[in-house]
Amino acid sequence: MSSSLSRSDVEQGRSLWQDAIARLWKNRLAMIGLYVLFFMVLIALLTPWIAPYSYEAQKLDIGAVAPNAQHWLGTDTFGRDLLTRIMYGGRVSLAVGFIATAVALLIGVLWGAIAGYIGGRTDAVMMRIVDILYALPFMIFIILLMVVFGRSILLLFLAIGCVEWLTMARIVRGQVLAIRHQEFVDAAIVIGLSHWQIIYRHIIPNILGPIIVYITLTIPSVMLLEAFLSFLGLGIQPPQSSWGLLISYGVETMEEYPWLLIFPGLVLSITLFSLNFLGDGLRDALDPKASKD
Amino acid sequence: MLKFIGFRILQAIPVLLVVIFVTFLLVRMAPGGPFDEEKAVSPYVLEKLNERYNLDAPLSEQFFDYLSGILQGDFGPSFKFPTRSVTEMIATGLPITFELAFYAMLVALFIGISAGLLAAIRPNTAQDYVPMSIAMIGICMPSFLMGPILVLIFGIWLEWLPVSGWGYSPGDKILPAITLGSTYAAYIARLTRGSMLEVLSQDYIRTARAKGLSTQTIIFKHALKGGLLPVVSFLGPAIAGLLSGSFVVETIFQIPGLGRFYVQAAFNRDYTMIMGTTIFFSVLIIFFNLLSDIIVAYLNPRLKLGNKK
Amino acid sequence: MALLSVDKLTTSFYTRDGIVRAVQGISFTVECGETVAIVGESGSGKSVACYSLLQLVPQPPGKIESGTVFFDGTDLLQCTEQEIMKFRGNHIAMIFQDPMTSLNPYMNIGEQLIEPLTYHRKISKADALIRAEAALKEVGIGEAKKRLKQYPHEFSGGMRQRVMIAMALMSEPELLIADEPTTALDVTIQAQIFELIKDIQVRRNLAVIFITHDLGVVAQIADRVLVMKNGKIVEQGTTRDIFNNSQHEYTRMLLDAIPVSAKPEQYRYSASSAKNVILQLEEVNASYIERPASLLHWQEERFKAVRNVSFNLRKGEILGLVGESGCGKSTLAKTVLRLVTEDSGRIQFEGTELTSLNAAEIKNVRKDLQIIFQDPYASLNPRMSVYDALLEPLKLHNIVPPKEYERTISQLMDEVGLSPRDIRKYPHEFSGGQRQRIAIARALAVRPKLIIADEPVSALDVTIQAQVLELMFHIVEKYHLSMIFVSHDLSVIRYVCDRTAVMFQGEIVEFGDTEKIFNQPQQEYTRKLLSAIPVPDPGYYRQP
Repeated sequence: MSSSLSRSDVEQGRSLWQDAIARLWKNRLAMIGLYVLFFMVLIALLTPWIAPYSYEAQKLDIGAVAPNAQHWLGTDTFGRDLLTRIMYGGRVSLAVGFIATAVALLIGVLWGAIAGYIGGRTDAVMMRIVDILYALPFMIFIILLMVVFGRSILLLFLAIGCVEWLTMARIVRGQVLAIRHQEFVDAAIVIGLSHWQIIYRHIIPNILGPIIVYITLTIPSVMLLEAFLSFLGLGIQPPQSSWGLLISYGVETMEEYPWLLIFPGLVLSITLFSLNFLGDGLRDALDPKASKD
Repeated sequence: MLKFIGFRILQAIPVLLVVIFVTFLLVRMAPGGPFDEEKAVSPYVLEKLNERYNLDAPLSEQFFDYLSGILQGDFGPSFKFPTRSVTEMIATGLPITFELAFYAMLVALFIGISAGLLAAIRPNTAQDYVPMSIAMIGICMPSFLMGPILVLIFGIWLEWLPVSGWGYSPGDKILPAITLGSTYAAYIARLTRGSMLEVLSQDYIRTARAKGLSTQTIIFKHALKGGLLPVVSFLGPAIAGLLSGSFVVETIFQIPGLGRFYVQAAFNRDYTMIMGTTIFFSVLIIFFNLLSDIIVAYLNPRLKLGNKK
Repeated sequence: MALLSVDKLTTSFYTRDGIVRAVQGISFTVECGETVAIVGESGSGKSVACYSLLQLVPQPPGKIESGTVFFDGTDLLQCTEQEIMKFRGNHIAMIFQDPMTSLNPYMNIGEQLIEPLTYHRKISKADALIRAEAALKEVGIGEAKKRLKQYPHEFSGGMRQRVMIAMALMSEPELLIADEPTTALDVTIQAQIFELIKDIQVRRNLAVIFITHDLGVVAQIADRVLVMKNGKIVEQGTTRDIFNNSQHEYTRMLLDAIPVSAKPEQYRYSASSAKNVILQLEEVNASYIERPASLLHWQEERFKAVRNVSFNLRKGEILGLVGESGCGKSTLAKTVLRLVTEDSGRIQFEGTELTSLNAAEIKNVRKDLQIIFQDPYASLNPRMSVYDALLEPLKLHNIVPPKEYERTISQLMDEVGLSPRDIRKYPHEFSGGQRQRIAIARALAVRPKLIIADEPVSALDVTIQAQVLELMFHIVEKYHLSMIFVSHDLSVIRYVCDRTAVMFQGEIVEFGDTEKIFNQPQQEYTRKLLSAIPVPDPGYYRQP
């Protein structure tokens, strides 16, 4: 046998990741979702430089005008440019979505992974706690928190993150438990790998897929939660703005100036659509068994 | 089975106590007293008010006073409307919120399950794609957007249905119920589709087919029971969601239900009202979660018998 | 006229990755009261062929392209869904491979049993239940009346298969299609089920199509045999002709692959001195968690799987651990590997007491002790390429210096019969047999002294099984390995092992030289086990 195998002789394998990316690539809806999302994030990042008007600039003399050449999406009752306000609002909405999801991810993955890996009584107690918390009316507690401690955006990140980690913990724990009992983990133990090596080399790569999918599906539900609170006037406070707040203003005047409701609503819905399509697409791509055939 | 139910109920009690305690503590920890925002209250009046609401007593005493009040069904007087008690306000708002949630749940279950079944019977056809795309819209179009848009279309432009109120004019319950139910209809549709597809791929469905049963018999007699289990366990969280959804819907449609009271109380910082409703909602939600857990356990023969031993 | 005559049946699957021609123009007949076995390896199309008869192939992606299937004068393939439903479960009944999943867990047995009658014969529920009770009695289930109210999970696997058979017979069909009905069952249960099917067949003059991969089963039960490969029937004939006088090369290959004999001479253990013990177990007890702790059941429930087991393993020998499912053989294997901690007892490996080692010491011992698992799909991390999977043990134990990694891995691949060109591929790009070879390579990478093989060929087709067994002989010989070979398959055990331990309910009931155990079993249980093995020789079953 030739011991010096030249690179060209070796056939390249296709990892499951490569397969998944190829499948995702073929999923038109998911790719559109990805592009739209990319576009939204890019706009949000660049807003201070590319916004057509200043965020505060009022033109009380013109008041609310319908979409036109100067103001593509029209203006609000104070004569502020709606496009500019949607762009700034998007920064807040997206930030809440990403940061609160990150909080949920951090707590949920740690909690779920520890419970699933240690198992036994630790698992029983930890997951029971999750079950109990699940049964609590968190939406009401967030409102309570916002009322009691004032409506700070930081508190909002934390509060939403603290709610959303529960599902993450359940998913991670279920996955870890399933992988933990696969024979390849036993094989790794027999080879002599330490716990950390097993977690790092064998368990994490195998639960990454479901976690990514769940992240993609958590972001929209977090954004929805923020919009919900802001709509009630219990979330983001002026002068900051978010899509939920804009929708709430839009509702007040929707009879006379429907565009003030329609455009923020449209932008929020499109973003949620993109995230959900991407999430569904990722699920199909990463777990072909669970997909439609 | 009885042991399971008993265990679950026992477990709910400490949870409720913790909820009451945390709520109580949070409200007391609020920066500034409840009367701080009042315009120019004289020290004398403030003292009288504190005395009246027993705010001078030690915290623990206040808590146990409050707790024993709750146990007797008394949530104390409202801070903002001293002539009305919190219990009274809950009693006024609750039936309306319940009625709204009930209609919304009917809408959600009926539309959700039928759409999910249609999709699962012929996956990857128009019969699947159309209801599932609509469901996706339902999920991505939150109630606070769906409601106003429905009002705009059916109430203002077409003038088919009333734009607000509850029980004042015919048909004024339709839009709120649809608004509140639509999101859950969408979730239930997706859930039903997924779990029915899962069940329909099981070996025992193949057995049923090999027995010569018709598609209808297979779906309704063999598949539905297993397929709807996830929907049943979703009912608990769904009711919790409907109750908090009522905040928005009752605000949009100006319905004098519990949800609207809650939002108003939150704005007015009406602490006793917030505490009262928070605790009340918690009890409701814990109860419905418990109920759906028990139903699921009852429907699953394995659980039913596993715990009998 | 034949009861069933199939002509040029062709079925394809239109999948994302292209068209799979599962069945390609097969023709055969089945007479009344006759048993026809369709035998083939996985992917041969034998199940699809039978599902096509009743249009039970999921469509799409499946499509029955052409052919005719005449049953009692009707072409089943021309039937509409409405028409063919009148045949399914009524004139033609089916039973399936996995009795654990083939019954509806949400309906009691009675409700499921009466369906063929209430549905096809319009018999009232009460009358049907009386018939169901009789049917349960006929398949040998006692307390039938009480059993009707029970749910599937209250029955064992063998009992569930009996229920399936009872259900199939409810409407007195003319033809029974049995799709690997005993593959998921233990060998003694399998023997009972065969007995039952044969008995009923004679009594009712029932025709049976028996789908199986096991030629031993074929010899025992079939009148005629169809051998399928890649969607085609390569040979058909009477059972006797197929076994004694096969014409086709593939049939002969299948027959040759069955382990029928004792261990080949050249691989037998030969020790100069009996003192060469590498592993010694004394009074080992072990248990596994049957039900994990929960808040409701704070004490986890443990199942005592291994009871007072003592044996020794000599250097260079292959020792068989044989027994039916749940006898504790896998738990015992895992205890030796320190995957399960024993409850009591001593395990000495090369003079080291394994039970008292700390974590760091165990890591050193692991280098010498390796395992090969049953399921080649679960025993390799799907996200690691073969190179990484083989590199892991090399690196961890510093087996070779880093610059030798690539060369060593290529050698390992070569050793187990895989092309070193494939080292960058991932497990899902290999077949089951190839994956098992990768698992063997991984075990070999640390240059162990003892390998425990836990059902290493049970998931493989018989021809692949023969190749993998050959490979195992080869590595044991070449590297002077000792091996514990765990299996439920007595024929394989006989072919592979020098000495054998028979396990039953956690205990070793008989232990000794393999040939001696097979020729002169001392224990009742061993005799029962041995008599249940299907012998791949039709002559064996035709004697009075």
